[in-house]
Amino acid sequence: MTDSERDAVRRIAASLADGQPVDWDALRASGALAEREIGALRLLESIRSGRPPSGASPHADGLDIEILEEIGSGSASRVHRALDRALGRPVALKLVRADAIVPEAARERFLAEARALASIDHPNVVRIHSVELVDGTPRLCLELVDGKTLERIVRDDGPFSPEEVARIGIDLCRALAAIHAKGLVHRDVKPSNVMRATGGRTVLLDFGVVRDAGSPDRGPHPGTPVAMAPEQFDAAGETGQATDVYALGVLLYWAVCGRYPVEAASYEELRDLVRAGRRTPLADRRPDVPGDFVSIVEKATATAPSSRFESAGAFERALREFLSLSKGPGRRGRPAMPWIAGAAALIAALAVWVAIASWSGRAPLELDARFFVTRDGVARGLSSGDSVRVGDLLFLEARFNRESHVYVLDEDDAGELFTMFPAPGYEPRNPLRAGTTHRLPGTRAGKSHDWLVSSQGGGAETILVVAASEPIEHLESFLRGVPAVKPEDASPARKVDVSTRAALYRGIGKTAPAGAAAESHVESPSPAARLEDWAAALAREDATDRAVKLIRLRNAP
Amino acid sequence: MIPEERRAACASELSRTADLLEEARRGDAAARDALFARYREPLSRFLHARLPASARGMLETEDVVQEVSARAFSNLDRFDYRGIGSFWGFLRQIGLNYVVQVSRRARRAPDGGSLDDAAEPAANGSRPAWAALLTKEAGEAFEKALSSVSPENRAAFLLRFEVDLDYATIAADCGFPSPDAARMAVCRVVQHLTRELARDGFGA
Repeated sequence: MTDSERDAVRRIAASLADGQPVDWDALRASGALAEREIGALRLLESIRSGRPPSGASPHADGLDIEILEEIGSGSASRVHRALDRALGRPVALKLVRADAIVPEAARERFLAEARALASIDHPNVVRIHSVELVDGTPRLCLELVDGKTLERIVRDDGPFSPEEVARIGIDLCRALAAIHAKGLVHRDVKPSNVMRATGGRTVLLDFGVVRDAGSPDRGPHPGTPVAMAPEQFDAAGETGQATDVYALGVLLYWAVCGRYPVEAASYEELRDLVRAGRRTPLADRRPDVPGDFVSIVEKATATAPSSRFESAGAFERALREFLSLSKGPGRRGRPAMPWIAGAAALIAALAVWVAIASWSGRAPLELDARFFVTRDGVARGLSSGDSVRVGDLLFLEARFNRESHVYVLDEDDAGELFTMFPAPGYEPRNPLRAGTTHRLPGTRAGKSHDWLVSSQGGGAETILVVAASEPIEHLESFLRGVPAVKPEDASPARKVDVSTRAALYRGIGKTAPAGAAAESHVESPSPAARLEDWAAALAREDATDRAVKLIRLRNAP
Repeated sequence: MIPEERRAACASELSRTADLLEEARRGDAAARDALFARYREPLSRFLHARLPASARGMLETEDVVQEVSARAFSNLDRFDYRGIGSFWGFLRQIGLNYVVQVSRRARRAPDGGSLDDAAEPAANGSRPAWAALLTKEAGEAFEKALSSVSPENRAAFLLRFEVDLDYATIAADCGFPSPDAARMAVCRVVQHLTRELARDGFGA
């Protein structure tokens, strides 16, 4: 099976598991999979649905929807979490508000939204399952995206790094390219209309003011004022692809600083400032953002549509170039990780980076991980080959460009293996957020904990850090049989300063035999595999984006 | 991660099944009925999909569900409860055994037709309306492929595909650290089964 076939199987497997409909005819027409794989998947679909394999729409017999709770509302609609009882799957049900100011217009928009969504099949665009007229009022049954909006993420966790924003931007450029290819203009790209789904998928929502570029475009133009392009304020202006490019530029600006480029006390003031192009430069709000990124945002938000990127594809290309450049030495706009006091050196050697593009083609997962040792109250960075001694406290600072599931394993020369992270009962827990520096093992009851070095008498420790954008199921399964470091407050007998933090005790547990080489596919990780072999084997797996890092430390005699 | 309130709901669901099972073992008929009522729908779906047409003519699916439930109840003492996944595995195995038994009985019956009735297309080439969802061969290939999956992943897959539980409950029942982990396990099993079934020619 080729990589693209594996990707297709993975994508459809997820749809079947989630109870999402699969367009078998389209799949066949695409030639993405051989007939035998399609047949096998349809057999599994029939087991899932309890119906014979069929390409028929699951809603052919009409909707049977149970509304569970409201999850969003706008001026003309409300969105509910609901249950499609026929299929037993959760859906998002969008209904016209009973108190919509112009219900006829709302209904028209609903139908336009339904048609637009039905014409687009893209992983970064919310999917529509069906539309139904109930007493003449349309209701949209949509994919329920499990995750958070960008607005919520930034409000809860603060702005993203420029690199992460660039990746989000790339996903949204692709969504816009798909929309524009259908002759449509979204016209309401904004943080609250973009979801980051569990697992990292970026999804553009709410096509409530979508416009068919082929239809007359008479003002006033709908939209959200703080994200609107100058032409949207002009009744005579025409909205087009450049309008969406502008809004996406505003979104990227907002995502790195939590502010809009133009802020005003009234609609009129905002309109005038936008028309005049009087924005607060991004560099004034975030001086640490790389100049390349600032230039991209400025170009996207140029006042004249003709000065912006000519297409979503051109916008995406610029973001990709920024990302590729930012990977070079010294090109990051700000330190990827704020160091704690006293911390210094980077862990360099023995780092193994593994990044496999996922089916969506998004940028590789990046792991920035550094170990520190605290000795005599002073923390310093650790490099491979450094020594640690009994009583030292270790901690890890890790940062990712995407939400990640993290696993930290330790193996000593005798082959004893321990799970250092996840640490049950401690915060944070997997998955760890992107764009934030996490200090591991974490905190408990608000108190920071470290790993306490207990090994002595020489020898070496190998520590493996694995980050994955999705859980590594077989590794998690295996780790259930591996002793975990156990929370234990350091006792005075260990001569550890416990005035500021307690410690996790590392070095208890049963022995795992060592020596055998790992298999090429780690479906069932062998306890006999050494960490180096595991790192290589995990790297070879192409199931998901991963990054792996190894460090080898010496125990002082 | 499982939100606290969802975790509590899952724990409640899991402990409810365990409680009912315990009470049923002690001879509480109401608990037994309540326990099997909880699994009636997936069990009915499971059996309906596998009963060949020949056996379908002899028995209504509901009768089969009752029979399988009764057999399961009579074997409860020998069943080691380790969660909903294990209980469903126990039920479906009894169901599979029963399907094989009634299929053989149907084959011996004068008008029973053949075991492969369900696989035979109607005269116009379409699938007959009474056909079982799974042909005998497809059902066997599916079970064979399933047997190559680890017990906990198999339980997660079956709870999702056959019992239609949500990922949070599956995670709590099967010991996955999060609903997302449970989802990933299910997805991987689907990928694995696809490969296995396709290799055995059951996708063609």
